[in-house]
Amino acid sequence: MKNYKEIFDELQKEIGKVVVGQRDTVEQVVAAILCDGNALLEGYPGVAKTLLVRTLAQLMDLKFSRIQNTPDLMPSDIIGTYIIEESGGKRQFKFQPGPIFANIVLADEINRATPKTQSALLEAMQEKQVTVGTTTYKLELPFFVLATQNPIEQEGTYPLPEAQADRFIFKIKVSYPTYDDEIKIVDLYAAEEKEKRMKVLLNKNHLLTLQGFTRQVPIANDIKQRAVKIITATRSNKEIIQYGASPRASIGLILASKARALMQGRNHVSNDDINAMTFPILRHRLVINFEAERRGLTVEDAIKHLVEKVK
Amino acid sequence: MRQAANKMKNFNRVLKEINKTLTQLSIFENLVNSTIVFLVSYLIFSFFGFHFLYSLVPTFTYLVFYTYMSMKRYNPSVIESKYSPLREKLRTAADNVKYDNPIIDELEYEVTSEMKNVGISLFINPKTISYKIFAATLLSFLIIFSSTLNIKFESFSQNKFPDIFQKAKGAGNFIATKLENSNDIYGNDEIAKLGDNELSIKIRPVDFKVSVKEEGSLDKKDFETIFPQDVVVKESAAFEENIAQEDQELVKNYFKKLAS
Repeated sequence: MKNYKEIFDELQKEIGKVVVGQRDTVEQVVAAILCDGNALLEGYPGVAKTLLVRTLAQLMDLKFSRIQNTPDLMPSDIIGTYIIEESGGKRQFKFQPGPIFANIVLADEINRATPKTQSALLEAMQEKQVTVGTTTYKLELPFFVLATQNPIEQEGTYPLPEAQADRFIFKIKVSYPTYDDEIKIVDLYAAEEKEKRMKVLLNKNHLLTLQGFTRQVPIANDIKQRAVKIITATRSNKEIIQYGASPRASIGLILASKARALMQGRNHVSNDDINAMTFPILRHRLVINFEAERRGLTVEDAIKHLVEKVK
Repeated sequence: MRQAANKMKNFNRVLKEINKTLTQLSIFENLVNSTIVFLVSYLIFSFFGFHFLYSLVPTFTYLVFYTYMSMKRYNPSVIESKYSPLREKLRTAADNVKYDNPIIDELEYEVTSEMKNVGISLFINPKTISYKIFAATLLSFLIIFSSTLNIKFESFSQNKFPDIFQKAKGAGNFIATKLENSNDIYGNDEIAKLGDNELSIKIRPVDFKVSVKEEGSLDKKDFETIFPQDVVVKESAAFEENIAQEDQELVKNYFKKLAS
């Protein structure tokens, strides 16, 4: 297990060459990849969301594509479309794959796309296949969508409905860097431009193997029961929570905890893994009620309350 | 496949060993504690004049409850609480013993190696055991002293509670047994009479020496010798057998004179 820890430490170190700080964000993004899930990244503009994903794709030798969502973006712009191709004097339709045909897809500002386009993207990431006309095309594995959204400038956006947001395993918060980190960022990017060489640490096969290992990490029955209790408590705690999380959240929490254990070089899931992973798992799945808002509570406070309450 | 089965078998053996050892330890601990409960109950019940069998009630209640609790508890968690390097590991390995993959194998190997550092001394506190043995000894002495000095609050039990163990009273029950009336030791009053005078007996529980001076002079009693009417003497043919022929006439005359 120590070998895996070395791999992930090396990954953090390499990412740290271009993305200063954000260790928790990096850990959660890698955990989402190991869980074979998709993540929703929320943060202010300019906090290295895109850079992080691009760097990860380079380190893992994965095909990367970026979709900049706008209100006029159509599903065919993402999935692909049939084009007429002329060969040998004959004209025929040929499928032109869209940017979704990659290993890591960065869907920037997903809340700016129309619900129709959002649905097409979400369906693709759920099924790991796209259907154009009557033909279904399998997406290449590993497949990982990382969607971003800004917490500001909500005008003219189409916020993801809860049911759609539930399909993302994590909602990862990218916060502003600390003062010291920002000094480092300035030193790194405002100085003489140097080419930052990244070494490839993993390939597709390694990643698929690691995804397999993640599911094999054992978990004790009482820890598993506690994880499920936390999720079911979101549905029964009506004092501050209006809508709770689905069983998909339970699956996600167990898987994410396994991924964290693997990244930390442990061969078992601990309660610390559950505590740490409950936040990104529940952040986008809980809707707090008016009473909680009146008391000045946030979703984070509600999750913290649940984690402390369920022992 | 066979290797995996062997690994599983080995770890199962480790788990069985854990369960066996902890069960033995909990039985030992429960028995020691039950003994103390018995002695305390015995002492308290003897103070209040209850039958000693009453003390078996709290003893068995304690024994049954704690035996049930120790059987119900999850032994890997008990070990983890005493030996922190195995925290969460042992439970995980025990819960996933039926699964087989490289990560679980590694965990089982790690746990088995760590188990070598877990000694029985972790579960037995010599200080606690010493205190318990000391307490049991002290209680035993208290019971002996209280029995010797006959310390009890009899009126409490007589007035408040019915004695359900009345029938069980018997030999050896020198503390809880209560004398119903003086017949038990003096016998029937009628038998204790000599002639028409009642016999007065004084028992000294501590000093058994009788001082003649203290008792004073004895009253002289005159007794009449009365033979019962139905007592007669008959000659027996059997005497003739052992008496010589020449002396038989002499003996015959002697008895005739005596009877007249």
